[in-house]
Amino acid sequence: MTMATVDAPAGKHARKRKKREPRPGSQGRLTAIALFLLAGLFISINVLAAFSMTSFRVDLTQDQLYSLSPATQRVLSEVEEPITLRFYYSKRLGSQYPNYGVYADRVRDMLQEYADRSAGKIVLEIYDPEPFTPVEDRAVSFGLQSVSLEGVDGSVFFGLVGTNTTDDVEQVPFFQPDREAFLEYDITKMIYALSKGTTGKVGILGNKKITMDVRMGQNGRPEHLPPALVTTRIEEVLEVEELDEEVEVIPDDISILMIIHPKRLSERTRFAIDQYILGGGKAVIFVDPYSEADGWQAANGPVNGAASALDEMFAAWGLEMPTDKVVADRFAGRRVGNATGTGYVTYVPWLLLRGPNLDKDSPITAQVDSVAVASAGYLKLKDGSPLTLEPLLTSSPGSTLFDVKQVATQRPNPQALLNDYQAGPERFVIAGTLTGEAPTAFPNGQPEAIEGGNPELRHDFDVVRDKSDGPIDVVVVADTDLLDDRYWVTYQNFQGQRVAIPGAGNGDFVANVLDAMTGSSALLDLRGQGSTYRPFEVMETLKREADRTYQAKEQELRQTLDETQKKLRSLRERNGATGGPVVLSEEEQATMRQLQGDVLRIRSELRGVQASLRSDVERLERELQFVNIALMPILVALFALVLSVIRARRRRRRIETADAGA
Amino acid sequence: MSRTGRNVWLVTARELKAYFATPLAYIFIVIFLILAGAMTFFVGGWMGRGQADLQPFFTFHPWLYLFLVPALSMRLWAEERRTGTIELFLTLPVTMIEAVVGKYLAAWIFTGIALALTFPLWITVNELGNPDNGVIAASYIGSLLMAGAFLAVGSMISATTKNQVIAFVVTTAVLFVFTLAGSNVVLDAIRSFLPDTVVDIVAGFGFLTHFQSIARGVIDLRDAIFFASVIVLALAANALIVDLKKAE
Repeated sequence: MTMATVDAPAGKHARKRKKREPRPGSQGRLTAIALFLLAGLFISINVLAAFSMTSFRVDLTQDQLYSLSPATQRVLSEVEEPITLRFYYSKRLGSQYPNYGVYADRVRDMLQEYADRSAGKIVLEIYDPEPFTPVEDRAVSFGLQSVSLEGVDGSVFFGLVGTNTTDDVEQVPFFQPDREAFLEYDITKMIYALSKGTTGKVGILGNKKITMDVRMGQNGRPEHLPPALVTTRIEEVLEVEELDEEVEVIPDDISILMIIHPKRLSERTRFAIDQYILGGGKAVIFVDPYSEADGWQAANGPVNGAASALDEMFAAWGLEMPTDKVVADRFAGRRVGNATGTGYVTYVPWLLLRGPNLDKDSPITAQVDSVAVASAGYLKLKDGSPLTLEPLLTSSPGSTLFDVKQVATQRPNPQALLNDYQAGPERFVIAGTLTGEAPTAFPNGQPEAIEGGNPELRHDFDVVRDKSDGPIDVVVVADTDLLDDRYWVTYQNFQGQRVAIPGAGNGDFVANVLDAMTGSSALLDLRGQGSTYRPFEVMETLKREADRTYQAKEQELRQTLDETQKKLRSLRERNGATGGPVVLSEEEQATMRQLQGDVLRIRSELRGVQASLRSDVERLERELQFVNIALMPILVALFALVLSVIRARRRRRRIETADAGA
Repeated sequence: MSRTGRNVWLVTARELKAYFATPLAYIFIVIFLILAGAMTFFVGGWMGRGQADLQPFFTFHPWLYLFLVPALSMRLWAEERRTGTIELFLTLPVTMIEAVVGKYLAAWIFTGIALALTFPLWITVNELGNPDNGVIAASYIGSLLMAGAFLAVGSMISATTKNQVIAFVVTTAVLFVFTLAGSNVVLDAIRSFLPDTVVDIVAGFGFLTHFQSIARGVIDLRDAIFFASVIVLALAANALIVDLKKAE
């Protein structure tokens, strides 16, 4: 017997089945060899596949999570000077924690894809830094994060360093699996920054200081206030330059303009801003109907001195930001001490925006945990506006508006605001991205220079734009207090050091806005790349509705309690007037009983609402469990049963006909 | 259809018909459906998790197959050899390869039917939220491929013995090792005496690794090649073994 008979279809042998093999031992040996060869083939095919193929794949995800987007390809096509990407990954990390291993494979594949598509402009180097080696030292010197993990000897690395020919360095210090949806965004942003070769500069302009500030102290001497923590976070991303309030042209080296609380800017400065934005300049504008930092006195002055807006520009863009209304939201409201200091109450104009209040599809807000705002305004586009507004921060459904006057008082009363609160159907946009082609806000050209201005800042425009060169790139935030430390940071003294403890993600939010906007506009196209947050909407709606009913009941309960207490007090006062023991008439006793009954009833209703939410959710769960666990098996069993009955009957009939035939 | 194709199909159809003629097939499907559903809800905590995807459902598939597939594959050849029907079977005018592939396909299609009957979950998740249906489709494909690979290995092992219980136990053990290759348990055990490159290669032969890779929503050629090579080569080995043992 030869090898050929083993490989050939074995049917021939099958038909010779009764004959004994002449030499059974030899067939056994040949089969063993063949099996051995098959095993070898199996291993070699897969080893070869694993090491040689990288990018043949079908991406079935809705958001094409695993493919390079057109935006990335555009950035890659613009790379001119070579860029070196060094991927530092400790294999020990992946072998100890397989989910990191899986993610590292994905990162490596993705980087390889970048290199493959860059026409040789991107060189990928991969390192596995062992402890106490020059490779590890290099990784540390590049600013990568070394992480010690339980069960892994020494520290491990999982980061990326990019360098260009002018020795600019950009890095992803550590790839967090929970940021996987933004993997492409992060890498593309790095490549963009390296191909442009500069880190940007943010120009700060406006009437609110977030950098070092000087204020008159209590003893009459000037007092230096440290910069707001937001500034520290901005400085991690960009170089900061404070612009003079009277500047008449935005300098060329500014890569993004941050306008904060523009309430006293001259017309020529506003014109400079207009021309800058129309010329493709990027800007983040912080305006406010009521800046709590300015205070209630300013707000109630002859001219509302605590509000700010860029009236002409907003009008030209068709953007509304009413300066007499603030957003109130009892669902996102923060808890503050009540008037008597005995408990807490929701203060509806101070919001902690989180979860669905932040746009999870935008790289700006997706990774921000929460943003604290205080007496924020809202943004709305008028009909016929040439622009589009994409919300970044929104209030909850069921939020409402209050007049600035109700909030801008010396001692706002949280309970009174809560009692006045009437849930509306709307959500309000507190911050958003504005894009589209915009006209100028100064159709008559540059305003005349006024007397007494600083001649050094004087600038006359040769070319005046009457509309934007392309789509404008502006983020508007209708609150300036979110830049203040006191709404989101507490400071603690730790061994003589002032340690900031953030209570919200305001710093991340501002840094992300600047970071995202100073990238290429191609980067903004990468937004929405696979939000992994896909909740059970049905459940959330159930919960939200129950929440609303619960709050209505709560309000009812509180009123009844108030009334009961008032009645009791009036009874007690009567007692004090007569000096004798209280004798309640039968009618009064009945009223008391009824009131107490009411309180008990509403309390039990309140519990009922909670219980019914639970039972609604539980019922739905039970139904779903039945449908998904039991229903199909029951149907299969029934089908089998019916089929067997039919078969049995058919068999009987066949026997009967056979009998009849006999 | 070519002659080979028709022959394979004849065997497949005959086998499939045989499956559904006995209550065993229905019991198998019912057990699979109940386990898959119950695991998703009670072990995977699908409702509590509140995410509109089927990850808790697919997570358990390798472990379900680990016990259900050997139960299905153990009788593929062992039974035929024990009762001697293999002799009868191989007198049919089909080649050995056609017989092996036909029998295998029937078992695979049968598993596919069981898997397809979990569709209420897919409907449910779309009712409850807005899932990424591409990921779910890929996960189903991955699950079917993995079941196919499991079955091929099971079929091969079934051919080596006349005893179904032995076939079941050995198949489960082999699949267990293949499922876990790539996990720490196995890698740590071999790392002590094998070089890193070999450890990496072993890690690349884990069923779990390749299944999880597809279940993310991407069908990578490497994963497809892995499953296809397991199926094709296990079936080739299967044919060789049947050929060798048929006379015993």
